[in-house]
Amino acid sequence: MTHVIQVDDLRTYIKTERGVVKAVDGVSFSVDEKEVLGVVGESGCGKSITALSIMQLLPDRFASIESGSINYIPRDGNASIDIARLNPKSREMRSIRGKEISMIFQEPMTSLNPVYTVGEQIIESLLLHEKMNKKEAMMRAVELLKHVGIPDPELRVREYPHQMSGGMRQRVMIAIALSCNPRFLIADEPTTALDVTIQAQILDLMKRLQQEHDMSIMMITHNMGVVGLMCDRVLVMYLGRVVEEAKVREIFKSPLHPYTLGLLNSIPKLNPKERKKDRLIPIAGNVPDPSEIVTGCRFAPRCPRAFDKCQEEPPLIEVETGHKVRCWLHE
Amino acid sequence: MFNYILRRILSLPVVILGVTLLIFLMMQLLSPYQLLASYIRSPEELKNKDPDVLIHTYGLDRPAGERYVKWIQNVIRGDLGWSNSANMPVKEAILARFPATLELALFAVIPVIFGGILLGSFAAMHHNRWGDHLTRIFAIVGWSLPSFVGGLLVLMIFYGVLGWFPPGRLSTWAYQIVTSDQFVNYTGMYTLDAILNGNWAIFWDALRHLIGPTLTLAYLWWAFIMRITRSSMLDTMNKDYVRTGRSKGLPERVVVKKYIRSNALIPVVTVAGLMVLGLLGGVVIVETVFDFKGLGLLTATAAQQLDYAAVLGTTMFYCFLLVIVNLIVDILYAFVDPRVRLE
Ligand SMILES: Nc1ncnc2c1ncn2[C@@H]1O[C@H](COP(=O)(O)OP(=O)(O)O)[C@@H](O)[C@H]1O
Ligand code: SF4
Ligand SMILES: [Mg+2]
Repeated sequence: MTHVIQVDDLRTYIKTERGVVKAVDGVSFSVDEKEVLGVVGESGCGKSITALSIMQLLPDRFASIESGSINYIPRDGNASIDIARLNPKSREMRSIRGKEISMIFQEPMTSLNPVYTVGEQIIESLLLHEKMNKKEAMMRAVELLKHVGIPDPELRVREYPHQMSGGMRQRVMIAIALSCNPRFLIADEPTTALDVTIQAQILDLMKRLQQEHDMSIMMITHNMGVVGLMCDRVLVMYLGRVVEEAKVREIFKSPLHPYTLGLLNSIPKLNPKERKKDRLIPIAGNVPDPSEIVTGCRFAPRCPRAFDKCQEEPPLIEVETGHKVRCWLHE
Repeated sequence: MFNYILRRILSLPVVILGVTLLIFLMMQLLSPYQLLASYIRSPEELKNKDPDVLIHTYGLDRPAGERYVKWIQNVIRGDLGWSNSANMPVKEAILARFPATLELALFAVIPVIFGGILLGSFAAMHHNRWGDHLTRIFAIVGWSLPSFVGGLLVLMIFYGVLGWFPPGRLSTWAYQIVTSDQFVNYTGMYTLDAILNGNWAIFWDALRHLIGPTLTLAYLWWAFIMRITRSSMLDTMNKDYVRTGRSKGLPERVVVKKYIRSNALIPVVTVAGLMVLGLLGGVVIVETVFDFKGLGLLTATAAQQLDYAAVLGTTMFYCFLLVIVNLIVDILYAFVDPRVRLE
């Protein structure tokens, strides 16, 4: 199977007043065509920074890709492009953004421009990447709104973001992201900010669209439940590192890393009724500040099974084909 | 949009009622003798007369409610009393002076707003680099320079040394033409009237006199608009939707224009409205330094000479302006922000 994106040893550092934060610290993975890759981990583990590195949308004042490569493999068999080497503002990068790779963000309430109608915001990408005139683009925008399940698209296309609910706005964001038929979609916690019932609807929509458009998706979430619902393969991240990688079936059947186990034990239920019954078992402690960590297994301070050897950092070991884990217990 | 504007206009009478009540309340601090002054045109009128009788004649001893109604009736008729300091009815004094103030304000507003916004967004785009520092110094100097110092500097350099921009509103020869029968005073704003009369010599003369005070005012307010634009742009730059704009692959130029600046201008509108109001109320110091006889100078002179009628009259007029400018700002607001338009 062909890859769409191949990330190798990516390091993205953030300069803060308290020093350099290695937000992404040697991450490697690839996404196959039509594959949905889940990226899970608690907040602060470097998921968003990984995504923003691929899009070259890092806050340029203080975050930058230090090393590694991000190869995008175009569809027509052309040579791959190393995004990490491109200038974020270059024409080449801009022709990838929104056209080849699109992104949906976590905050639907603030991710749309308040002073333009949703129609105007959808046609922007169409006018830019597809050679359409304004009228054609508007018609396409209406189709797209219909496609993402917005009722009365002819009317709503003229509305402003503030006239819409969070769920509707996220649908609009999806419409924008899909407008130019991207090959690869990055969804950074697209449902975290939404009501549970709306969450399920949006996930259904994304699943449907993924199949209809033959897209690859990188689905960022901190919820293992979403992974089970949406993904083919999963990458578990902890403090800027990949700690486990496996097929979804595999991860639910035989999770290896203690951190993954913790995440599985704390799945919030999408159904609110079940949610009340089920007590979550959270992982002890919090994600430490990444500027503090130095040596040893990064999960050791919170790990229930830590032992002597854990003072040294374990490598990512492939225990079975396609199942990798970074833990001394599975040497 | 239409509904929004209609609602604003319908609320005007309420605002005006409130304002007049407030002014009337302040008037209660004055004694009937002081209020009587606005009915007396010359000391002669008081000869051999008992002020108390006059107070009774003019109804100044009536109950407050009655006096308020009478006062409002007078105001509506445009009768604001007699100004001792200007030696003419207050209404005429205001009408004679306001065009000068309006002309100055209009000339200052355009370079201030456009220049301020351009410099402000330049500073924001060069955040913490030399471009930002340079404009910051420029702003701090403008902001902290008292306008009498700035005005005198302008006068010294451009009039004293270079002889380009003299004080006053017109040269003597031009003034004679303007006050003669051949020249029609349509608006009282000499530059505009000169164009309407097709008299270019007068136009250039009026313009020359305007540049000094305009420059002084512009420099001060430029800094103001610039700093607001800058901080608003910096604020907007970090918004999520700006990242969305970039994620579409839009060129940076478009992102700045459609995503950053169009949102950053919303607070600038409010500030610009306040500024216009400040300019229209008359700028006493600049008017004094440049001997530019506008509303500010009228009010200041009236206050110095305890000319109650003129002070109350200009206050009334100022409140009226405030209401109008606020309405315009509200409407502009609706233009730049759909959230207001569709509220
Ligand atoms: N804008 C920022 N300023 C400073 N630090 C940041 C910023 N964004 C992210 N970081 C740091 O980078 C690390 C990874 O963050 P992020 O990728 O956003 O985590 P996640 O998406 O997994 O919740 C965190 O430790 C966070 O503190
Ligand atoms: S290496 Fe040690 S500390 Fe780290 S996860 Fe495995 S057991 Fe826990
Ligand atoms: Mg995140």
